[in-house]
Amino acid sequence: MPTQTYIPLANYTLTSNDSFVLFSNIPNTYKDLVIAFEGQGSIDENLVFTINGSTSGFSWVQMTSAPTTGYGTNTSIGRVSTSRTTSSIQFSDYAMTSKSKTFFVTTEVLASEIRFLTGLWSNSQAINSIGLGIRTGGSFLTGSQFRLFGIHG
Amino acid sequence: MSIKSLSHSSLTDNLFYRSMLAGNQPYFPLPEGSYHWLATETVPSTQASATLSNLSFWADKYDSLQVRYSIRSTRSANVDGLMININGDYTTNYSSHNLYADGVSIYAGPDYPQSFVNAAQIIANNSTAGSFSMGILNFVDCFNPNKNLSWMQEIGGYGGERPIAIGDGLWMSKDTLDSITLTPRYGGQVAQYSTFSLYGLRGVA
Repeated sequence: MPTQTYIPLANYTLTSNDSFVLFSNIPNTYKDLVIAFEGQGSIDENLVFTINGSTSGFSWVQMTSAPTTGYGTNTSIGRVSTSRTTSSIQFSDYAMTSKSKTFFVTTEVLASEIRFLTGLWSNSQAINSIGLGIRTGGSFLTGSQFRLFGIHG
Repeated sequence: MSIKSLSHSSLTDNLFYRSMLAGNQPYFPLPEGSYHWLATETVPSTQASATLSNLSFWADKYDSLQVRYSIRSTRSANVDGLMININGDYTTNYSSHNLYADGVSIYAGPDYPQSFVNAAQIIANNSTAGSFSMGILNFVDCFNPNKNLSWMQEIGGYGGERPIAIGDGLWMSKDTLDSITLTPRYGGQVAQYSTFSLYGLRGVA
């Protein structure tokens, strides 16, 4: 039988500038996760994240609207700008302990650039927390929104 | 909906109806919302391909379908290709475009006409253990009998090599969508723990 999904799990709207946003106690009852971000940063910098508190085991490849491509082995998986920025971060099979975790990140900086990135967290742990921050000490500005959704499967 | 004669019923025809309205279409309530999970297959052991079938059942219930998958090929290489076929058609009825990158080069190109849609590259057996490619296919207005079937596709993975792509696929047919088959292209098979999930989307909740 069809099951309603794309279920909202958490929704944060910043009431003051904040350097780090954490989604914790993520249930393992969904197949995929989606984080939707819309907001601005205090500086133009890379969006960084942690999974289960870890900052190691990450690798990624991306292509941009420039067009350029690149890859890395750090946690810089997107972009935040002083202009409006929207991002979606999608995790596949985030609770499956038989595989590492693959994710997509799509970022759009208003009137500037689009990035499409895929990455791997080389860890078979189920994801139970995801943290988002800005590299080199920037902050998300007041009014920035972060939403977490679960997708059944 | 027209009411059918009770001269044909589950009693006279020995048919099973999920509805108490014998002779009429089964009552099939949909949950609230506009985005519904319909099915998932987790590959229990290596298999040649993965097929989502009987999709026409959803034709009067949803406008669009989405497939979300996590896949790895058993090919003895870092990557394999991935082919998509519709309704078991393996003739040259397909076209596609993709924008590809691998962290070093970025390039774009069409593939037409072909006997499959090129869904770019996926992680294969020589890549990092436990790594899978992730993909999403969006079939928009896919049951409209006035349109050939087209979809958007995105896929990516990291492990040994770094294939990433976004693109589109076209099946030059207005036949009702009934099955979607994904097959590794260069001799590999679909590895254990690959997953394929089907979702239905409708415009009016």
